[in-house]
Amino acid sequence: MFLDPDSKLAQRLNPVLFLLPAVAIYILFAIYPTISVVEYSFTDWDGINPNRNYIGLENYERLFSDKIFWEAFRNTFVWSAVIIVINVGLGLVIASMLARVWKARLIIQTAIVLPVVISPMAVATIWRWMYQPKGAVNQVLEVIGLGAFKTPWLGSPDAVLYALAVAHSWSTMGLSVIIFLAGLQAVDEHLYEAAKIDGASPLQSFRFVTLPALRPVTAVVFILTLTQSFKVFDIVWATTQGGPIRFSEILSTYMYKRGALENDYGYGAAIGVALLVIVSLATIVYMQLQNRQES
Amino acid sequence: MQHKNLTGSLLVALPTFLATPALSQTEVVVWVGGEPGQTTVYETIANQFNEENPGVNLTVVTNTSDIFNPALVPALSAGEGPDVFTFGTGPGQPAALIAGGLVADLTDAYYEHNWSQTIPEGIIVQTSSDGKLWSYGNEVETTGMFYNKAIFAEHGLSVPTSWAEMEAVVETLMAAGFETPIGLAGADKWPVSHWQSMIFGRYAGPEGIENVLFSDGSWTDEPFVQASARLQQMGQADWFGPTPVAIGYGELMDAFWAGEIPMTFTGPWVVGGGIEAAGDRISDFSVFAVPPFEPGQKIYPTNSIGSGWYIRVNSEHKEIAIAYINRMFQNVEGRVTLLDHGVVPVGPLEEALAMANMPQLSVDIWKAADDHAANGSVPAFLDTITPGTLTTVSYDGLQALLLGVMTPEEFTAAMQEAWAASKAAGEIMLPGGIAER
Amino acid sequence: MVGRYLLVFFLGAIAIVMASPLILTVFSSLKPTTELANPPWYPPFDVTFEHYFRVWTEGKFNRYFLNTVIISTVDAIVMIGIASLAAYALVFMKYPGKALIQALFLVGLMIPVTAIILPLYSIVRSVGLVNTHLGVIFSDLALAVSVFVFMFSSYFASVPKALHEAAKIDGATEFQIYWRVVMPIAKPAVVTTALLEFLWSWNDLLLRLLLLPSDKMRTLSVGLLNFQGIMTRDVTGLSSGTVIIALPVVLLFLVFQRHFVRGMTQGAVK
Repeated sequence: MFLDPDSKLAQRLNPVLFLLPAVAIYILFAIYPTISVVEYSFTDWDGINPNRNYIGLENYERLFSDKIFWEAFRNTFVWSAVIIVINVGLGLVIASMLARVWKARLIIQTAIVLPVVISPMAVATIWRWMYQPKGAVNQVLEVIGLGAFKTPWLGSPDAVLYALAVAHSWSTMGLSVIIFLAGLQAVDEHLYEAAKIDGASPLQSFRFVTLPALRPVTAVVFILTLTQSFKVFDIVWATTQGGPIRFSEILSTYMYKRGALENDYGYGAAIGVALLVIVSLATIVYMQLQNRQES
Repeated sequence: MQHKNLTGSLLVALPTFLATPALSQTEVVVWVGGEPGQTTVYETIANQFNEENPGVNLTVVTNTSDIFNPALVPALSAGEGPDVFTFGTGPGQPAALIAGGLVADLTDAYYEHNWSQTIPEGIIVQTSSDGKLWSYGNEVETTGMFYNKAIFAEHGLSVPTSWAEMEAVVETLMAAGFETPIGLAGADKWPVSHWQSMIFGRYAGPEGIENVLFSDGSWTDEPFVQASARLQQMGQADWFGPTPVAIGYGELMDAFWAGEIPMTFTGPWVVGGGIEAAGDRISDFSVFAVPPFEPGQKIYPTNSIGSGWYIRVNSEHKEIAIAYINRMFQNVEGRVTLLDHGVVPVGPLEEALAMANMPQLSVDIWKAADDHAANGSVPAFLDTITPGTLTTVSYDGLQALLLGVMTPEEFTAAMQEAWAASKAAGEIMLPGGIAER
Repeated sequence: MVGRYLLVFFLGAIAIVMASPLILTVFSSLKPTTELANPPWYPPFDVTFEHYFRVWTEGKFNRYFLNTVIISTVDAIVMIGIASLAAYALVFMKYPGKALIQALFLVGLMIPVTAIILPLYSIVRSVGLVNTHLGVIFSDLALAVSVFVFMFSSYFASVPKALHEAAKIDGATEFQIYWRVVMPIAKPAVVTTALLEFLWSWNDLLLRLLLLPSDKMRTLSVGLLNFQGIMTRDVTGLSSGTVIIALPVVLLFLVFQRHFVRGMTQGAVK
């Protein structure tokens, strides 16, 4: 700004100036600790003792033969899949419906977005209560004639993971709706009018106008949902601690049990690194698919 | 009045000793973990301490959730953190803290301040190793069968004293439409562990438990298998309702105070919430000792310390920290304050109890235990004294027992496997006891 | 027309499902303890604000409130600045190593906070920021900056490159283009960033518990913990605490709701 904009120096310096604040904070407080965790994953550190020994790949070897790890791994995938379907799929549908409604729109939109502001601990408390055998969910099912679907949610090996995923989605779907709504503003209204004139049904204009226009935003929502859902900890910990038995054990709760509660920090770090690698792979695969679709 | 003066003069001497830099206040940080409502009493006593000791400022930070340890451990291992703090006790929990050299040796204080008169032998065993004392085991907790006297009266039931009577009570209640005769919050894993601690103790006796914890006994010993089988059998007979594993503890206690569930096995920490929830009906509730499960079996009251008070090894205010511990547990005023808040300090209670104003239900809990005190006691919370790995295995296994997907033999074998592994890794404190002086 | 009513009906149903747990929370925060035995969907008959007063004073929410406002506001404002600048550099500028920086930011999306708290604590300590709001703010920014760089990038990517080129030919500096041309277009991203970062920072628990050991520095989310134990909980304290914590963010969302609507109404009016 104070430099001559045309000068070579300014050209060179600009990217540095723009990037520096974000990159400096980010490397110091996020990347550096992450590298430390990778380092710890090669040790037998208990997380407390000042001494630790390097044990090579032992923690990772243990990981591969650890049955519980693979259970948690599988659960994490199911968990994320359910959340993505709701947050991205339903979130998109709701956002585009909201965009078509005028009456009572603000009230409806507010109601849908509000759960986002509730702190995770309160979310857990609320849903624990909702999911009790005689809780609100089962009572509502009874009233609307779906009594056959009643189940002891938090105690059911088959239902618990899905039930918690729905609870998590309840508290996060509003974010997707907001981001989709923000994205919908960028869609040229004339496209809809043109589609209308061409005799397109609302469903067709959703398919041929909204969806393509929202593709970049969808990518944002998808990746956000994917990465956030892999990291979820609070709601599972505060409702079931991974139970019953280990039917809702996901990687983050398993990492916490091993690393923090069982003083096996090195092994917990290895689980953390595995978690990081898995999310990265999932994100890369998605981005590849996205790119292929675009080209 | 006599003792008040005595402690008073002790406390007068303290500030002269402490207030070396006359103007600046000595800041001492205390971290307390525990239940909401129960932690406030430590703050109350700290405030009294501050008033009695100008120049000292104890700041109490309360942490009620299980995120307490993850917040504490990084600070400690960085050589920082609180001067005094509460933490789990042995043989499993603090081994890493002690091995890491992060906590101070309190043996000197033990002898200097006559702690032996307050802390019973059974608790020393859990708070010491290598002949050294590592923490001051603070409050004692026991567990018992809470029951609704009004419901019992309505159905002509009296407190059962044998297993046959217990079966009759449960049968009557189920016939009367109580789907859940004995509430059990299996979704939270620890309430099942309280059952486990009690029933293991009943079948194995105090020696049987100590034999495993501090010697070469095994969790696969016959009494533990039998105890697990009994617990599973009760679950399969729906004594805990159709789906105990789906029930949360908070929700269960709400139903209990509302009179929807006649019995539940729990501890004194519920009393405060119960008084609030039940209001005048609180007098409907009382506590009994679960009758012997087998003919000829003895009743052993459960007895555990909630946690222990530790002092950071490199704290500059160890003397103040010890004075604070003394003010809480060695001083009658402190003990009365604790009792008034429903916290039962270690050691003889007669003197403090006479002055305290405890809720009746809290008194009932202790009476139910005291009647059998001569038999010796067993741990109330095995999960707080065993290493984390065993706790995880027990928690998961107990849910599996209740769901019927694990046999008692498999369960005890899994426990033993985790226990043996921790033992082999040196994660267990050596047999307790303090070196004689 | 029928379709439209169906739509409103469907959305209304969802809205009720989404809102009802919150309404129940408000109910229980206003009930005297004697009414707690009633089913939760009973409205309070004898409305009381005592729990709010209790949480505000005894629960020390009055103290925690200011701390939380400071941290969250600074977080949100600084985040808009650093994330949008970085995103601008990633979208509109050319320089060596750009792909690497992009990849580096992507990693940040995946880092689970629970995994790195221990080394994060050491680094905050070694720069002397434990028990300061600044330490929390830096950690918050670092752990969330990826998300917002990513979000701004995707908005900037939809700005026609020609617009950027034209401004450049007119002699504008990069900062002028960023400030006068690109940022105004990215307003939805700015609002979303402000709201989300404020919200995340407002509700975060773990970092605050860890990095702010002293009570007078602590935030509302940590304060709420004092009503929830491992074994027991204080229902009225929890619910009124939850409402107090939620209220400011709810108001923010209500204020900014209009922003999400405006774009579309403009389109309709045209």
